Amino acid sequence: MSDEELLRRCQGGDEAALGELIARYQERLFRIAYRVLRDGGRAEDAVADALAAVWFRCGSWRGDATAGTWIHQVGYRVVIDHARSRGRWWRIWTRAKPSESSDPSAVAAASDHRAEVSRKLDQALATLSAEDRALVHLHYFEEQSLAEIATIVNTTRDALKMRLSRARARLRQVLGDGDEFFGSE
Amino acid sequence: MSSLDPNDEARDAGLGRALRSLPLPGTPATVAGQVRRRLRRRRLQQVASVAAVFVAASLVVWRPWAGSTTAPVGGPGSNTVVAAAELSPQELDELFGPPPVDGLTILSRRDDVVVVALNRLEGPKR
Repeated sequence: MSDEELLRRCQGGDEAALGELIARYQERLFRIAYRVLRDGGRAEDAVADALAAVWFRCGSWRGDATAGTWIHQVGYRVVIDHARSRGRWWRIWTRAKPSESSDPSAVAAASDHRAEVSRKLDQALATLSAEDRALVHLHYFEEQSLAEIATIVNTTRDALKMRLSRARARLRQVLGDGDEFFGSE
Repeated sequence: MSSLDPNDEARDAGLGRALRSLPLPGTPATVAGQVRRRLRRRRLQQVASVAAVFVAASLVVWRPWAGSTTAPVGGPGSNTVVAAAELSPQELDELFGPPPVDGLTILSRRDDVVVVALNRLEGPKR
């Protein structure tokens, strides 16, 4: 069954269809949430909020965008909202304990060199804004098209190109011109 | 991106490779459960909201505070409001009847006492 059909079923109140959408999208949404929020516990919380929002807001989907793009759009907004509300007292108060996956050291690295490269890259990404981290992730990691990303983040294609270019320049500035980041394999 | 020159494109591809090699933790298995919990919580909130509106509307229609079980009682000019049903007629009489008054003899008795006291005071002078 297509995503569009599942979303239409959600509009009719079919919770089983939501279960199927959760199974299909939770990984992708978790990846972007983790990249933006940099904490496994908070990312999990944001993904649960995002998928619940898909259920509550599915009535507003009119089929202008594909179901996948629309779900990413809802997820992006929820994740950015979580990132912006980091300092709000109730988030700190009610924040779930970080899960095991939130510890970067828990993520196995293939070698010391690779771990060092990953650490530097992670630090460089941390210097970007939450919105720019999401763009970089969607473009480089998820390899989504510029048109799709522009729809997800609700901007024009030109503005998106400009933001990506600035994010790339920022990363280059922080990382330097080392071959491990920008060179060919 | 089409605006990049070949050198930049190679750098862009290199950055993409480096980013894709970044490790990411697996998705927690509890996400689906958390979503269902949020759905249940939202439903409970909606039921509670509807119930609160219903109770408020019922109170407005019923208006128990404006019923006939309470009535202002008291003497003229009194604005004391007491639940009339809680007072017996005897209590009402005692509360709002005229106050007890001493007989007129109290004045003559007081005069007698004053006279005796004055006589005592004047006695030693003579």
